[in-house]
Order: sequence, then C-alpha cells, then structure tokens
Amino acid sequence: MSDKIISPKKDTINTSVINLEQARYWFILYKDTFVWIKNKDILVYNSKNCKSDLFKINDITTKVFEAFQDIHNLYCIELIDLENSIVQDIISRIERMDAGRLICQEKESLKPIVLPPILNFQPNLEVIENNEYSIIKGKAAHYLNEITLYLNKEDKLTRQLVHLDYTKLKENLSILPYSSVSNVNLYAKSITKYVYWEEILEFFANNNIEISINLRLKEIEDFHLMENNSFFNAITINIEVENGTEKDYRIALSKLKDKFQKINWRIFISEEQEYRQQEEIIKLLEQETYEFIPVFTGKNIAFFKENVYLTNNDLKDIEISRKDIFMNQVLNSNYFGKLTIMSNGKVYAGTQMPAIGTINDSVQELVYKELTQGKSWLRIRDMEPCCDCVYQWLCPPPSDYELIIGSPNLCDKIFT
Amino acid sequence: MKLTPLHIKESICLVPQITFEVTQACNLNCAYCAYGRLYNSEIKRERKNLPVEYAIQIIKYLVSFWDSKQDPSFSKQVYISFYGGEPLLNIDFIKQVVAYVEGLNLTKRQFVFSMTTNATLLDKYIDYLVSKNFRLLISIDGNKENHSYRVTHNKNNSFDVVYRNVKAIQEQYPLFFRDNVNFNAVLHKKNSVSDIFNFINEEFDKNPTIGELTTVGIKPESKAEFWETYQNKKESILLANNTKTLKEKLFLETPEINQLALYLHQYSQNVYNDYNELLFDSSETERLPTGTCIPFGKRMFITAEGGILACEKIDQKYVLGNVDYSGVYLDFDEIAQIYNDMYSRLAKQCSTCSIKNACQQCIFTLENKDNPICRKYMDKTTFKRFEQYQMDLLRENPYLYEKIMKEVIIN
Ligand code: SF4
Ligand code: SF4
Ligand code: SF4
Repeated sequence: MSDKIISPKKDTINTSVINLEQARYWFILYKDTFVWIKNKDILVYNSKNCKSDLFKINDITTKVFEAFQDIHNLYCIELIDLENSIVQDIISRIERMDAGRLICQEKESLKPIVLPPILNFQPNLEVIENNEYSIIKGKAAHYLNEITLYLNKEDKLTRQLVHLDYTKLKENLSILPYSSVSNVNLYAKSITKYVYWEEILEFFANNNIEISINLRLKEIEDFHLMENNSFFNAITINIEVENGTEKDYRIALSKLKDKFQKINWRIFISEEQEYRQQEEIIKLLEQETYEFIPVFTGKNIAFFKENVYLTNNDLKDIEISRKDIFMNQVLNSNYFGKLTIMSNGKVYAGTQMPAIGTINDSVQELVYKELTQGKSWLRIRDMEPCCDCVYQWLCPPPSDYELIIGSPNLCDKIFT
Repeated sequence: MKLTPLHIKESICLVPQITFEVTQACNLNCAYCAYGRLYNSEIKRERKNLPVEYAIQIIKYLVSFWDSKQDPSFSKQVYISFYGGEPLLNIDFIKQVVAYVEGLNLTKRQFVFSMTTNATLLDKYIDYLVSKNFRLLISIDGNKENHSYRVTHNKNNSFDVVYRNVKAIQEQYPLFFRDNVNFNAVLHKKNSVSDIFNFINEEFDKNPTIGELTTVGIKPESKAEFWETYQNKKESILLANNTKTLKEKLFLETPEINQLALYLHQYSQNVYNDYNELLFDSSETERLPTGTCIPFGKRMFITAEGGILACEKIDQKYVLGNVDYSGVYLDFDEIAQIYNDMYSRLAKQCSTCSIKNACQQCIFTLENKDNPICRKYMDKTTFKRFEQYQMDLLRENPYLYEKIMKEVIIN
C-alpha cells in the first residue's frame, strides 16, 4: 500500500497501528444531520426524524466529528480501520439514528458528496460583505406581522383614562395592508370608551385584519358590549385570568358566549396549587381553548425550575426542523415581527426592553431600527453560557422569562 | 401562482433601477451589435433621442408611488441609468434628468446615477460624470486585436481612443476609477475569456463581466456570419491553458460555477433570502412560473420611442406601456394578463420540468412567442444528470460549497 494512502488526509481517519491491506470505507452523514462540538460534548441531531445522540469527547471521536465539520469534506470522510471499538460505536450509533451510513469503497469508489446544512442567509451576508442593509431597508414594512395596541390606560394619579392618539395611530396603521400583519391585539382599560373604537374596528374589518380583544376576567362585568354587528365573527376574545373563581368564569361566559365564537382563556399561574384549581374549573366548564402562562413573582423560582426549566430529558426530546434550527440562528420567533404600541404612544419590539420609538415614527423606521440596532427581534442564544452549549440552536429562543428571572438560560446546565 | 396587478403595483413601488435609452444613435458600428445588421429586430431604429419630458413624466409617475402610504420601504437606493446607443451623444438629456432627480428631495429614495458607455467620448464629459458620482460600465473586448469588432462608422478600430480615455481616468481620478468603474466585454471569435480577463485584470486591475452574443433573433440570411462570429463562454474557458486558475478568478463569471450557485440556492434548502422565508412556511411564499422576473422587479426600461419595458435585454416589441408628453400609460391588469398568457403557453412544459425551481428562462427571450418551446426544459433523467454534474463539480472543487454558502449574494 502506498504511503499516500497510509498518511492521514484531512478526511481520512486511520486509527490502526499496523498498516496492512485494509478495506477502505466512506463514512457519510446525511444532509439533514447537524453536528455541534462544544466543550466536552458532541451532539449529533438528525433534523429529519428528530433523533439526537450525545457523544463524549475523546481523541478519536473528536477527530471523526471535526472531520465532518470541515465543510470541504462535504460530510464524507474516509475510514481505513474499522477495528477500533470507538469508531465502531460511532458508526453504529449514527446508523441507528439514521443520520448517516458507512459505504464500502469496493461498492462505491467515487467519493459521495453531501451538502452539510450550513445556512446562507442573504440579508446577513449583505451586511458582512458590504455593510449594507438594502434588503431590510427596501421591504421594512413586510417584516411586521403582528401589532398590539394599548388603546387606553388609567393614569395612576388622576385616575383618568389616557387614550392612544388616534390621528397618529391612523397614519401609522395605513401601512398595515401592505405589511404581513393579519392579526391585531387590542388591550384597554375600557375598550369601548376608546373614542375611535368604531372607526378602528371598521378599519381592521375592511382590510381583512383579524382582531383579538384582551380582557381581564375580573373586569368583564364592566365590558360594555357594542351593538351586535358583522365584525364579531372576526374577533377573538382572550380572557386573562388571575385567580379566577368559578363564578367569575361563569359571568364571563354568560356575557360573551353567544356573541363571540372564539374565546380563549389565558390563565396566569404562579404555583402548583393554583394551577390545579384553575384546571379543575376550566374542565368543569368544558372549555377547550385555554393556555396556562407561568408568572414569575420573584418568590417562586422553585415552581419555575419544576415546570419551566429544561431538564436533560427535555433537551433530548426536542423536536425541531432544519428550517427552525436556521431560524434560531438568525431571529427570535417569540418577538420577530411584533410591535406593541402603548397608550402613551411609546413603541416596543419587546416589552421587557426599552422603547424603540414612538407613534410619531413610521412603521418602516421602527422596523428598520429594531432590525439594525434592536435587542428583541434578533435576540438569539449567542450569549454565554448558551454559546458554549451543544443545544444552542435546538433550545427554544430566549423569551421574556429569561429577562425577568435574570438568567440567560432556563435549564439544568451548569458549565464549569 | 399567477401574476396579479397587485404584484406589479408593488414592484413598481420598489423598482431598483430605471434605465433610459437616451438615444438610439451610436458613434460606433460594432459588427455584432444586437441592433445591427445580423439581427432581426421588428422595431426600426433611426437615430432617435428620448425626449427629456418623457423621462420626467416617468419619474413623476414613480414619485407618486414612492411618496405613497403603500411604500413598505424605510429607504431604498434607486439607480437612474443611461443606456443607448451611446448615451454620451445626448449629454443634455443626461444633465437635465440628473438635475431633475437631484431636485426631488425625497426622504425614502436615494439615487445613484449609472451609465453603460463605449468610452469614446469620456474625455469630454468625465469631469461632469465624476462630479455626479456616476457608476460607469465600460465596454471593451480586450486588447486592440480582441477589440476589433468595435469599429467606427468608417470601420476604424475604436480601441486606441477607448484605451486612452480609460487610462486617463485611471490616472486623473484614481479613487473614482477604483470605486465607480467596471468593465463589460463581449466574447466572440476575436477574443477569448482568458484574453479578456488577463487584459482587463493587468491593465486596470478589475474583473470584467463577460457576455456572449445573443443567439435570439438572428436574420436567417446572416446565420452563417453569426456563427463565424460567435464563441461559447464555457468552451472558451475550457480551451484556456490556465482553466483552473481562470475559473477560480472568474468565480461566478464561470458559467458552471454560476449554475452551481443557482442550483445550491434553489435546491440545497440552506439558502434563505429573507426573514419571512425563515419565519413562515414556504407554501405561503409560492413562486411565479418560469425564470422571468416580476415586471419592474429588476428594472424599468424606457426606450427612445417612449416604450416601457421590463428590461433592455429583451426585444423592444415586448412593450408593457408607454410614456409621452401627456403622461405614463401602464395598465396593471393588462400587464398581468400578458404575463399570465405567456406563462400559460409554457405551462405544459413547465409543469413536468424538473428544473422549475431553479428556472433561469425568461419568457421574453424564447423564440416564437405564440408557440414557445423551452430548450432549457429538463425531464427527470436530465435533471438527475444535471444534479450529478453539480456533485462532480463539487467533488473536484470542494472549496466551492463553502465559498458559495458563505459569500454569494444572489440578485
Ligand atoms: S438554555 Fe442555553 S445552556 Fe441551557 S441547554 Fe439551552 S442552549 Fe444550553
Ligand atoms: S431578461 Fe427577462 S428575466 Fe431578465 S431582467 Fe430582462 S425581463 Fe427580467
Ligand atoms: S420548461 Fe423548465 S426551464 Fe423552461 S421555462 Fe419552464 S420551468 Fe423554466
């Protein structure tokens, strides 16, 4: 056998001590397989069947997966010796999760080519190469997909209602038909006291934009119904529940059930006991569309650790597509495309972050600002400790919880 | 998916380039000119100039979109481009349009002026062009011998004048030359890709774009002469004695690498053009048929006669609207109809075509528009072979995958 073959090439892994005439193999990974190497771990994730396997770092394992990570090898490496038990273990685990396979070169002498899943995201390339944001600038309004409006709010001192400036609002909303917005969320202390309530409703109905009205359970009794009209079908009512009693629920239902077809319950809970109580009521009333939303009170971290934090088992069970992995590398789907306009006119891209502007700014400007300088829409897991963790792009994107709790990672992972 | 009037309205609002055919006149008489004797254009070309008033009508019309509530952009660069004939033969037009555009003072649009020129008159006007920060695309086919199809009406090779003018810019305005000047060459029997590349690279330290002669619309009686003049780019690269390095240097200018980049962009599932593509399901972002751009999605071309076209590369019989002293006539329903009719004439072929997701075929460059036959059609077997070819190319040049994925911006 020639020297050339024995000497290890970048894509050739030869673990044998004695170089005899040996069979040669291609070891390939499939195009949907991701490999991440961080600290002491190597994670292989098959985004097609959502199976993952965690390998411990050692010389040979690292060598194999580093060779796979070298893009120039195009997910195919050459193996000369299969005697080595570590290599055997890698092959069988990879084949078991259907993430790749071994091919004998006698059967296929031509090196197979696989395209490893690396993202080419055009707007980012534009910034890296030309320091240019022309893609974002040109279509700014297209990136807006949801808007939340706080129509009025009670001033704490005067107890007067502060209303959102409608003239400005109207100016800003005129872009909505040319954006990606299909749903508007409305909040108000007293929605029907908003002077331009009817106009706003008509505007959304005319432009085929659906409306969600958010009401607090305890305040539903004060909720004045408008005349029954054709807009009702396009309205979803979200009822926010904090410590609701069965009676509160029943009042709400009797008031809303016949008028609105879509009623969602958004039930805030901060401890186990509360969760059980509320669940009992919701089941008793045979309600089907509800979600429980954990609330951090500053004192219930144990509840969060138990119910919200990701455990090692949760991490193993993550099922996420190749596209969503790419998405996690670029944007935060919790926030992306959403703007919140408060009754005082301030505009937020994430309500736990400082305002990005006011209602006097155009939607296009606000979007551009958030995409180039903002801290919400593009907040990804690129901070410590997530950037040193193999689950960096599998974990759900950071949310408000991380900010409120004050920890970048809500998981069991401790890095030493 | 069908083209709708709304698509057109949106693309007009976001049009990235407006190209004016300043004049039909040209002070050269290149043997291979697409408006010349080898070709069959149905439109008679005199030496007409485009009236400034027409250009101003067009800009006014577009301003009504740029100023409107439906403009989704925060800001956008728009190229105002001057094309010919030789645009510098009508410098008054250029100066007036530039002055008009500069006076607009729009917050959401920034304008960049650009021009394609044969460089023969640059000595006269370069100070003005530099002062307006023009981007120049200069046509030169290589050295004097390579350039010898580009002749004056007296049949003199224009090389000496062109070379002198370009060198003068390089010396007098080195920064402008570095940032604003590019070269385009036409490939034919008197040059080669390697000749062109080496000449422009050594003389001007630039990488040129290189185009082939267009094979559509040749007069039957000129076919023999045409094929005498024509040279294929891929073959020319293969015939070079430094093919490998040439390909590396030309990168996307190499047809195979360009094709590989397009293939990877469409079929690797690793390329995303936009945030919304990542956020929403792809079924929601359907494709229009064929490889034709959305009308005005790339540019708007205004002919010297006042015709409005999708671009300057297609036959002028494909007018989509008109401009004259009284205003602009563009009917979005009618345009959508024109496109949808053209799509439907190809629909049968496209429906079974395996390359349809990476289709590069423009409907306006197909012969026989009433009964078009697409020569780029691929059945499954051909497509498999095509894919295999891409894989072979990557096997031989594994560096290309990383380079394309990490560097290439399409559009
Ligand atoms: S939250 Fe961060 S540290 Fe925890 S598992 Fe996810 S990526 Fe790793
Ligand atoms: S050649 Fe066709 S596809 Fe290309 S820019 Fe012109 S009209 Fe569009
Ligand atoms: S047949 Fe294929 S290549 Fe031709 S236009 Fe249709 S999709 Fe494109």
